[in-house]
Amino acid sequence: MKHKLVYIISLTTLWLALAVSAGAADMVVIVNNGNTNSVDQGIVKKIYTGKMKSWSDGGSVKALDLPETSPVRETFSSSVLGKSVSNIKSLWAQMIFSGKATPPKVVGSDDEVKKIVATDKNAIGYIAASSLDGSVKAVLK
Amino acid sequence: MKKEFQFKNQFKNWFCSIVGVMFLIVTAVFFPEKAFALDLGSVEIHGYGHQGFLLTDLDNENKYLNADDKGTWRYNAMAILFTAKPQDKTTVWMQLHGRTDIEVDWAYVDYEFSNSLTGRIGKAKLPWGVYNEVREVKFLQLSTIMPSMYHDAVKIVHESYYGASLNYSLDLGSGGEIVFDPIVGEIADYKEGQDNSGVTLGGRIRYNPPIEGLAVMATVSDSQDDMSMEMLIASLDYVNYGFDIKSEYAAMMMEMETMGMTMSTDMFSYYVQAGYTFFSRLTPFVRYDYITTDKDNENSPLYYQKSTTVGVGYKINHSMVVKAEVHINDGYALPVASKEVSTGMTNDNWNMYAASINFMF
Repeated sequence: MKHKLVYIISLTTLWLALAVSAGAADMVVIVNNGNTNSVDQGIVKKIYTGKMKSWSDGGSVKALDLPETSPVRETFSSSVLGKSVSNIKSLWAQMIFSGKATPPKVVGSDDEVKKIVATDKNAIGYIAASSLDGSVKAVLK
Repeated sequence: MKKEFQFKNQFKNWFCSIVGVMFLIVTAVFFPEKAFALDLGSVEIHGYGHQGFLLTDLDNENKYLNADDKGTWRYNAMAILFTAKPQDKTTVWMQLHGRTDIEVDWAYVDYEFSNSLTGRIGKAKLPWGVYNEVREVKFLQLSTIMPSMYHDAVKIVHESYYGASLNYSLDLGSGGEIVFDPIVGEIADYKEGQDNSGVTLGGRIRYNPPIEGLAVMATVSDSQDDMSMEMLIASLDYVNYGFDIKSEYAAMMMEMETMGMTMSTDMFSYYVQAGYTFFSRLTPFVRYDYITTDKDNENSPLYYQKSTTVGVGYKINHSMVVKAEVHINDGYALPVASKEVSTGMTNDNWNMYAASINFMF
């Protein structure tokens, strides 16, 4: 009976681990090729939590998000911002409804993110690492 | 005739409630991932709402928040927020809010001087304590019914003001961050009997130490006119690792000259609240809450209320949450202050039950 229980727990743990790793996706944070501002994780975190609205050169930051269901967004939220998508959403709701800041614009796909970032010097976004090409500059992996 | 009128009114309320609930369900269940907001070119639209059902075990003569022993659905609100950026550094905000009537809840223009300094003019929510700026956004709160200090019946914490404010954040590097929210203006939501609160000066200082999710706040305000009102709030807020812990103490000192005599009333309130979220969805919580609406008579149940709240919230998705809770009360300061008690309660001990469905987008 005891062995059976250990067996079931082990299988469940393995299944959960596989499920979690299957959901994870490699991602990169990207900016326009002409963006010369220094960008590190601290700056990205400030931008995506509403604490930084302008680049150091004075331009207004235009941050982009992928849809809430995107595994890339989940990875970005947990590994770069250190919070779940749900927590980040609550944080933004607090800022919106207290009139402090508006959240990043949600766009539908990696291609759309790249397209906007490639044409807007002040835009910043994140995409799956496999979608990266020369039209944008990767600043954080 | 009167009965017919009452029936019509009741029907209207029920109808509005049902339509409201249907709207909430359709919006949040069928379009939860569509977007956090509607983006119509340069105008963004966000919104929130709730529909609650409240019930007390009081008899029909005594009510609070419209609830009696038969229950009420008249605990609801909807709001739509419009925001636009006519220029890079300028943002215009307007929120329409409605229960029975739709009104402009707040509207202002802000200008971003730098990443750390923003100024605004117009009508806005007072940046007081933890909850005031989002007091109607039940989605962001653990409970359906807020801590006593925020209740309209007592107005220890007023809701909004007309005037100007600044938001300044000071980066302390590894020491954290301090955020200042000073305001000057006139309180917009007067208490009954007050014609004008005069000029209000005040502000909140928020310290975010280098501990993720922790904030310590102090709020003070001073309003001078026919009546002088001084208010202070000390707040502690911790939200991280699934925990949501809040505690606040608020005090209001009022003085008024009437026929050559000075009348004064001191009120104070505090609460401690803690919740924990399991599986990112289920959040049980408890709260102990105390208020006295007249410090000189704080031993009378007419002027004090102690509430222990136990409740649970369940997040259906990122945009919708349902909640249920029970408030076990000793004293009835809030029903008395709201003037919904007609004869006084026969028992100091009474319970209030609340359930709600809440959404935001």
